[in-house]
Amino acid sequence: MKRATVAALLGAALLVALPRPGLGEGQGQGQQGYTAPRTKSGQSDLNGFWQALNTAHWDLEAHEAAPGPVLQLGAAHAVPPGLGVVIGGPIPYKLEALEKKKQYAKNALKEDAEIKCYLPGVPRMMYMPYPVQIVQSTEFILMMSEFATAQRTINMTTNNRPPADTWMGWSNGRWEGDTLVIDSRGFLGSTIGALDQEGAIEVRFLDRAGNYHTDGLHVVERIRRTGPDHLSYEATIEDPNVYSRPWTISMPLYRRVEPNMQLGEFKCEEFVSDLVYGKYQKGSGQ
Amino acid sequence: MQGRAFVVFTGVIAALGGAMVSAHHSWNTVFSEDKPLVLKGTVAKVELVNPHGWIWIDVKNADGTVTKWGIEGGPPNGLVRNGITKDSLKLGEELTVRGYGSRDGSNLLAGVQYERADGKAFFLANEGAEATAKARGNLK
Amino acid sequence: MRFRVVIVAVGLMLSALAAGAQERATGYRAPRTPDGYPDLQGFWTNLTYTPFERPRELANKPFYTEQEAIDFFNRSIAGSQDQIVHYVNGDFGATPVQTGARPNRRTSLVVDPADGRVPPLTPEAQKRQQALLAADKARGPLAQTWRDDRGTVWCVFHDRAVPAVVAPYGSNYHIVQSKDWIVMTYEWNTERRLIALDGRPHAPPSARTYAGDARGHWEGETLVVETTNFTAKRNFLGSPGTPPATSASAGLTLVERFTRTADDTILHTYTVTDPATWTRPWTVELPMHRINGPMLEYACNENNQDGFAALKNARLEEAGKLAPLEPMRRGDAKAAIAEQEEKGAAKVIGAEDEKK
Repeated sequence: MKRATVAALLGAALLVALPRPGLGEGQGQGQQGYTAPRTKSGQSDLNGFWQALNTAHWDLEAHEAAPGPVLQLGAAHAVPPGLGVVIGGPIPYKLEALEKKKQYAKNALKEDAEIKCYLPGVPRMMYMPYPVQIVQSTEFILMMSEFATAQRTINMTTNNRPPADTWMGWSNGRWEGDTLVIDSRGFLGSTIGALDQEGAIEVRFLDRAGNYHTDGLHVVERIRRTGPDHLSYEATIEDPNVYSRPWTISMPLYRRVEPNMQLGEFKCEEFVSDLVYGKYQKGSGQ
Repeated sequence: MQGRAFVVFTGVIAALGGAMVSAHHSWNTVFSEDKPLVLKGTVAKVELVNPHGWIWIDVKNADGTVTKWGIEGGPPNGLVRNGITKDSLKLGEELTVRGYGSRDGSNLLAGVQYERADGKAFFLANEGAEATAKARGNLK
Repeated sequence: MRFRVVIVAVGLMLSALAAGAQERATGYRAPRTPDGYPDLQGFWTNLTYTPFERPRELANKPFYTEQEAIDFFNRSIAGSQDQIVHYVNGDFGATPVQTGARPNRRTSLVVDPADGRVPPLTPEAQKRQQALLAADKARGPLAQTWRDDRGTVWCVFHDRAVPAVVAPYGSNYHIVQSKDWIVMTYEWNTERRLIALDGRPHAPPSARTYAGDARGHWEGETLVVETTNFTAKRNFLGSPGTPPATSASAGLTLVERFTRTADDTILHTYTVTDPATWTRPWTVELPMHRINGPMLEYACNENNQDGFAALKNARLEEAGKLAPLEPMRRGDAKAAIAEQEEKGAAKVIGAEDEKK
C-alpha cells in the first residue's frame, strides 16, 4: 500500500475517533445510535415536557457552594456547588466586561430579571428549574416554560430577520437530520427599572451569578433526542459587546415522565408587585 | 376580599357599544393635555414593544445641550403586519413628533403625530386607510 | 370616495360571511393536520365592533339586515378613536378593522338568552358585586397599588383571553396543534391556553389557575373544550371562578366549540355556567377571522412605565405636588394637537434656526 494512502487512512481513522465537538463527556455516548420516533410530518418528535437538572441557573461556570444573598432564607437559598456547563470554560469575557460581571454579581439581588419575574430570555429559559413544554407543528415549534408563562415561537418554515426586538428573541429553526438547529437574534438587552430607571441596567443576566449579555446577543442551539427520555441541548452564545469569542454550553434535558404531566401556572408578577412597585404604592399590592 | 376586582368590566359591558372605546386605560394619568409639545430631534433608539413602543430621540436645547426624550407610541403587531419594522426608522434620522408632555415633567411624550424629514407622516398615517382596506382583504 | 371604497369592501366581506354560513350548512370540511385532525392553526382575530350585550332597544332583533350591518360597522369605525391624549390607533394598524374585524349580522355577541344579554346575577352574586363596587369606590380616584384600575396596568393575567371577551385591540390568537395538545396563544399579555386532547381528567380542584384547566376532544369538525379550575382570584363578570373546596358550588365551567366554517373563519361559541353566580347558563358566539402573523411577545411587566407613572403621579397628587387629574377630553387627536400648534400653544423644542 502506498504510504500516502496509509497516511490518509490513518488520518481518516483519527478523525472518526475524535469525540464530536460540542458533546459533553458521557452524554449521548451510549445513545449515539438512537433514532427517536417521528411525528406524522416525519420530524424527530420533540413533543413533551423537558427540564434541566443542574445548577446552570445559579451559575453557568463551575463554582463552589456559597451563602445566598438573603440571610433569612438560610440553606434554602444558598448557592449549591456545580461543575459548570460551559465547554472548555470559563466564559471568554473581554477584560472590561469581566469587571462588569463582577459588579453585576454583587448586585444580582437588585438587578436580576428573575427576581422581578421578568421574562428569562434565551438560553436561560431552557435551564431554569421549571418544566418546558415543547409543542411541535410543521410551521411552528412552541417552547413554553412554566416560569412567568414565558414562551418561544420557533419559526420553522420562514427565515426572516427579526421585525422587532423582544426579550425572548426571534428564533428561526431548521432540521439538520434529527437535530433541531435554532438561530436566534433580535434580543432586547436591558433590565428595566422604574420610571426613574432605578435598578435599570443595559444588560440581561444569563444566570443568578451575574453572567450577562447585551442586545448584541446571538444564540445557536442544537437539540436532539438521545433516548426515550433525554434530549441533548447545546447553545452557542455570541455577543461581541461582551465576549472575545463565541462559547458553548451543553447539558442533557430530562423528560418529565409522570403521568398526566402538564405545565402549572406560575404567574409570579403578582408575587413581586410590592418589590417592583412598592416605592410608589400606598399599602400592599399583594 | 383578595383578588383583583374586575368591577370596572361590568360597567364596560354596557359601554361596549357600537363605538369601540380604543384605550384599555387612560393615558391622561401619565400625560397632560395642558402640555402640548412639538419635539424636533434625531432618532437614538427604536423599541417596538408591547403594549407601547418607545422611540427615543435626541433633542437639542436652545442652550446647545442635548436631551434624550422618550416618545411613547402604540403596539407593534399592527405595524409589523403592515411592513414596518425596527429598521424602518434609521438611527440618526430627523424626526418631528407632536404630542403631550408628562404630568410630572419628565422627558416623555405621548406621541400623536410623527413626521419625517421629508415631511411625510410616519407609521401608517398615510397608509391608514389603505391598511384598513387591505385588512378587509387580508386573507391568508 | 373613501366611503364608497368602504361600502364596496364591506359588501364583499359580508358576502364572504354569508357564504361562510352556507358552507357551514353544507358541511365545510377543513383541511387536516398531519395527525388527521381538522386544522385550526394560524393567526386569528375575534375583534369586532358588535357589542357584547344587545342594547335593550334591540331586544327582539337578534340580526341586522345586510345594509344595517354595514352601516353599523362604518359608524363604529368612524367613532372608534376619540381620545385626545393618546397615540392614534390607525397609525399603528391597531384598530379592529385594520386588524381584520368584519361586519357581523348579529346585534350582540351574547346569543342566548334570547334577548342577547347576560342573565341576572343570583342574589348571592349581587351582594358580592355590590360589596366589590363599594370597596373599590372607597379606595378613591387615585391608584393606591398596582391592582387598582386607575391608569395602572395589571400585568398578571389578561382576563379577556378566556372566557373570550373582545378587547379593544390585541384580541388575537395564534393556534398551534400537535397530536395531543392545542395551544392558543393570546396576543394581549401573551396569555396561553394549553388544551390537552389525550382524554386525561382535569387537574385536582385545588390546582386553580387564571387561565383555567382545559380539556378538549373532537366531535367531527368541531373542537369541544371544557375548562374548569378557574382561580377564585378572578372575577369574570361576577363569577369568582372556582371557590374553595368548602363551597357547595362547582364554580365557573366553560364549554367552547370551535368549528372552521371557511378557509378564513372559525366559528367560536361558548357557554358559561355558574349556578352560584347566574340564574341560568348563557352562550356567546364570537367569529374568528384569519389574519397575518407574526404575534410579537407582550412583556407587560417589563414595559409597565405607565403603571409606575400612574402610581407615582397619584402620590404626587396626594402630596399636593401635582394638579389633580381632569376628566379626559374626547375628540380627534391629530386635529387637536394641530390646533394647539396653530394657535402657538404648543411648545417647540429642538427646532433649528429657520434655514430649511
